[in-house]
Amino acid sequence: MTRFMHPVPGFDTVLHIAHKEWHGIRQSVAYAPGHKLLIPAESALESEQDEFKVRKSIGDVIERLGITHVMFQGYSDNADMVLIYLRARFGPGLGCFAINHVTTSQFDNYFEMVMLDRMFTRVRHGMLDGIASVKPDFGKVFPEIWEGLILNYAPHLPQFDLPPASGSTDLYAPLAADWRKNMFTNVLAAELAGNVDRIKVTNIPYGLENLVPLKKLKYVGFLKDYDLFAEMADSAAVLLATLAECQPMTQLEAMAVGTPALTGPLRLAEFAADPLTGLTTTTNLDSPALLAADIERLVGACISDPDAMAGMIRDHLDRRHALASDRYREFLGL
Amino acid sequence: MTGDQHTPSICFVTNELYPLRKGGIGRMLYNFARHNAAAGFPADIHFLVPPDLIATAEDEARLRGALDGLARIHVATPLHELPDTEAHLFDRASFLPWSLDLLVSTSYRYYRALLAIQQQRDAPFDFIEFPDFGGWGLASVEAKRAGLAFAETAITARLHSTQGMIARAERFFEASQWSGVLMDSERHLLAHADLIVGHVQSIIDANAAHYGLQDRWRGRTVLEFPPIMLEDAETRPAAEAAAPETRDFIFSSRLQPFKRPDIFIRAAIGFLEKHPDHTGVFRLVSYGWDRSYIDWLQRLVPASLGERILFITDATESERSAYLARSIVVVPSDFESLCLFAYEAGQLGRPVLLNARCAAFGDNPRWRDGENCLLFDGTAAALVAAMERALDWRPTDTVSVATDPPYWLSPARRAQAASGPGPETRASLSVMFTGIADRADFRTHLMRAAFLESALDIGGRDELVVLLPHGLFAPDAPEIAALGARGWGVMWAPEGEECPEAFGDRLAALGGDCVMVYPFGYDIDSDFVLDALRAMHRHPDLAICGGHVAVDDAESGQVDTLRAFGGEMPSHALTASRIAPIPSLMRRSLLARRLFDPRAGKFWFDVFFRDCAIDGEEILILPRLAANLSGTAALTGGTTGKVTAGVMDRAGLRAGLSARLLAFDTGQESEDFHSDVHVIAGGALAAARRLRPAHPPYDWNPVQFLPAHDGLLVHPLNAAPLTIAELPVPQGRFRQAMARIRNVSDENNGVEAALACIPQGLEDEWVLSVLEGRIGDPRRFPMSNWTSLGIGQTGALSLSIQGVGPGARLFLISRLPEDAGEHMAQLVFERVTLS
Repeated sequence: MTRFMHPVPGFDTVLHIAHKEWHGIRQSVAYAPGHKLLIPAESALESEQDEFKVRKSIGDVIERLGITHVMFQGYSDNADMVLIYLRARFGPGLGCFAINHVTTSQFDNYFEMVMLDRMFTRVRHGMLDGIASVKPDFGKVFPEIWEGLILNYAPHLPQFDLPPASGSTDLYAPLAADWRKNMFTNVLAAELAGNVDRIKVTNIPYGLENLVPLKKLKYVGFLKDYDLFAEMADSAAVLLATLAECQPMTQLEAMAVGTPALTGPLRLAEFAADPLTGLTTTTNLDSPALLAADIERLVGACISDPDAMAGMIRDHLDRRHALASDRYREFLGL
Repeated sequence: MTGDQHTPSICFVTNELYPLRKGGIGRMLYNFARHNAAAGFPADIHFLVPPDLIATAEDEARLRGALDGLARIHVATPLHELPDTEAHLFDRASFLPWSLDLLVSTSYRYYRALLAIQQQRDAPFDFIEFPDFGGWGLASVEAKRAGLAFAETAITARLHSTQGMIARAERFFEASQWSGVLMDSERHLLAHADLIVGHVQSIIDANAAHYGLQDRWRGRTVLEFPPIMLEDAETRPAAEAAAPETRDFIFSSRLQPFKRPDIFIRAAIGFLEKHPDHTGVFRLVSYGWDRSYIDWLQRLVPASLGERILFITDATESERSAYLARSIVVVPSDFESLCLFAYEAGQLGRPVLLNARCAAFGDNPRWRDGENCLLFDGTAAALVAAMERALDWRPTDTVSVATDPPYWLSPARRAQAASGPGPETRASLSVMFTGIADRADFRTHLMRAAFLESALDIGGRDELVVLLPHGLFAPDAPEIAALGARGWGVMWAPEGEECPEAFGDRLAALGGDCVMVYPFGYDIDSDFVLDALRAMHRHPDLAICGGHVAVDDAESGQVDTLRAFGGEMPSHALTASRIAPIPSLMRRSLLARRLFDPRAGKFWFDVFFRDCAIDGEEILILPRLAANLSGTAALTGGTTGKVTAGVMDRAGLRAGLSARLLAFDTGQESEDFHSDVHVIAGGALAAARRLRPAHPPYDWNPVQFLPAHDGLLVHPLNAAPLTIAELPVPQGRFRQAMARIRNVSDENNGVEAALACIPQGLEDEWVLSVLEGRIGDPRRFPMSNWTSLGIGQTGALSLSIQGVGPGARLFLISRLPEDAGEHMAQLVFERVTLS
């Protein structure tokens, strides 16, 4: 989990605790500086015979590494059990924080509200020292949440100055076939976009082929790590016009290999004025025809001046990572 | 703390410990703890046991009660309860019964447990003692060799009896790949342990000669006699018994071939035929594991002597003591390393008859014929004579059980083994990235290279080379310039498959002390590479250093299974691959004196490592993950019958045999030589079993192998909606199942056939109900389309089984077309292909 981490000084005493099953948050933690530890979210933390075994071992790790700040990335019953144990064992000497990774549109999953409520209770009773969010302006909605914005890091990848491998204009849409990720609209829009040769997908949009011919579709399946990054690098753009996001890791992974990602409005005030944000943001999330025009615009920009695109992405990431580290320091009081 | 004040600590790894489980080893270890307590606790004694020793809370209470205040008991945590993915992978490896994976997993569990105990104690053990059998020390020994752990601990092997030595005495009772793995791992411990402890000098010598380790063991062996301590309950019956009238004989070793209960029985028969009026009886008060062997022993006893030669398999401890107290004790074993039982019997004053051919008796100054035992020369006839002699003989002396001070109390022994942490120096490395077929591969591989680069000293002592196929890029392409800018080398190879011999020359011409091939599809852990480079530096004679490989699931990309490797396992190498993974570090000088064999098809790398293991090259497999392998690249057959025959034959010729081992049929025959295909055809199809109909209406089986058609009949019937056969398939990752089918009769109304692949874990009842349409649940497993065959027609079935996962089952299914009769509906599966 530390291979793609940003080596930022000053985070040696920070420990992120994330959950094995929550993939997106896991990735955001993997790329952030600091130590990392995974716990299960959907199964028991410990067996009944060995109560406290895992919690004790987490405490031992904290002691051994000299951790001063623990950050729960996402919250679960297991995270709550660990928090209570750590407070009992270390008292106020150990800073305990939580980061919220959901948007309010995800509240149709009742669990998210239960967990947020739990976090709020823990803050009110002083068990948690603070909660921050990766969704802009959450602090304006919920007073328990820090008003600043935590920024996700892109993966830290080696840079090679290589021309595209395929020589054709491909889009890559690593989208799940669910409502929020909006895969069908993305695929249809890419089919309509005149300057796109192929649309590479992780999941097949079953049934769509009965409605329209899918001439550009290429199934690449689930990819991870290097294979994912290489596929992204070999794409003109990554297609991520989804209905609700905080700070999607897929966008940041694409940018780390110099590929822009088209997303819905992420409303990050920090980057609102960037020309890159304008080029890579679409509001046409439920209209394939209009979305196709936004795709054509982005792909056109990549084709006409690839160096300018690479420069914009590089500048964005430089600024983003500097800001991300500052925000963490500010929130944690490092 | 000064050396004088230090209380030495020792941890025994064992799966038997008194009072749980029968057996002398558990008793001996218990005695060590008691003896230590009696001496005022000069040592800190620990036992590490597996969780399965303590099946119930009652067992645990019994064990802890017996050792309370004497020693610390640690139970190894099951790997699935540890927090890390690596442990979970090693845990899953244990699911494959009687395999290299199981042995590696078991030894890894003890290794992790030992690390955890040391961490908990906040101090290393001075000694960790493994028994010489079982291979449990494999991972710990490799960790110590590599400098990963136990730098301040001596690893000891105690000579109880290896399976390897027993197999010499039980020549015809072992035949499996598991035996090879087990015996190789035993040898591995004996070859690398810091100390070897034996109880009898002749047995130490016999082991050293058997394993060819005389040089290695010089100065490392300890001869010491363990404490023999009898409980009151065991001595009381002897004291109470009226010894002079003893007319009974007893065999009370385990019922196992090398213990030779057959000699006891045959001698008993011979004795009773000669002395029909003898008033005593012959008892075998014992137990065993092999039912068919015990049945054979029982059949040796003529019906007329059934009441005079008695098998007593359910005696309690006190009943056994009572029998012993009134019997002449016979120990006819061909091999023992000590035989605690004989000493205990001698201590009780019983007459003891011992097989002189067993070195622990016949070549042991403690046993003196006519004084404290009667020796016989190992035959039934000689035992009859000894029995006759024993009736009027009583020992004039008691066998000596004077205990030697244990080795762990010797500061010199401690100092001898405690090497301390090794230097941080490492060997230099040349790594070659291979397998790039197109530009996309190039990009992916480059990113991996960059990560490894960050751990190495490229441009300094290390070297990184990318092997590219001719024509992929022009020599002046920006890609080549980008590599040059980073200080990486580029080599060009022919498009397609390069000759392995030429590839070997290419590697041998690189600059590092070690070379490593980094094939496309692998993701090598740079920490492993550094660990391995340090190990290569520590051991200048080490030729190959590798680790274990995690294989990702092709569909989900999640880490799925462990591919374990054996290292120095010459017997395993005879019949199987998995000696070391391709991305292992090889000493460059190894490649200068050994060639890759271009005649070995796609197995040339595997064959190279197998030959190395057989020839005794030093190999080390770190007990950790070395790499991940992409599921899509993981398809490999490992070996074939012909490859294995070729490997064995070479070994035979090198050993000077005039016999050609090509004659040995390994049972691995398949067409899987140049392609990743597994074919089940001919007689192999007879392994199928019928699942449906459960109760056929006729007295013939609708699922049976038909020699005349060289295929498997899956005959549909009117009485059942489907006829279903399950065909056992090998472990492996297959994407496609195909079957060639034929309607072999010309007297029916046609037949229909299909294939289904059932993932592990689905219940039969549910699957069969879904197939037969008895419940309407959606089908959660892949099934082919139905194919209809008219009379005499052949056809093919095809089914994608990608992502079904390990442990999947293959069903061959037939049914009758609508309105067709069952008469002569002979559908035959001629061949099933998995690819």
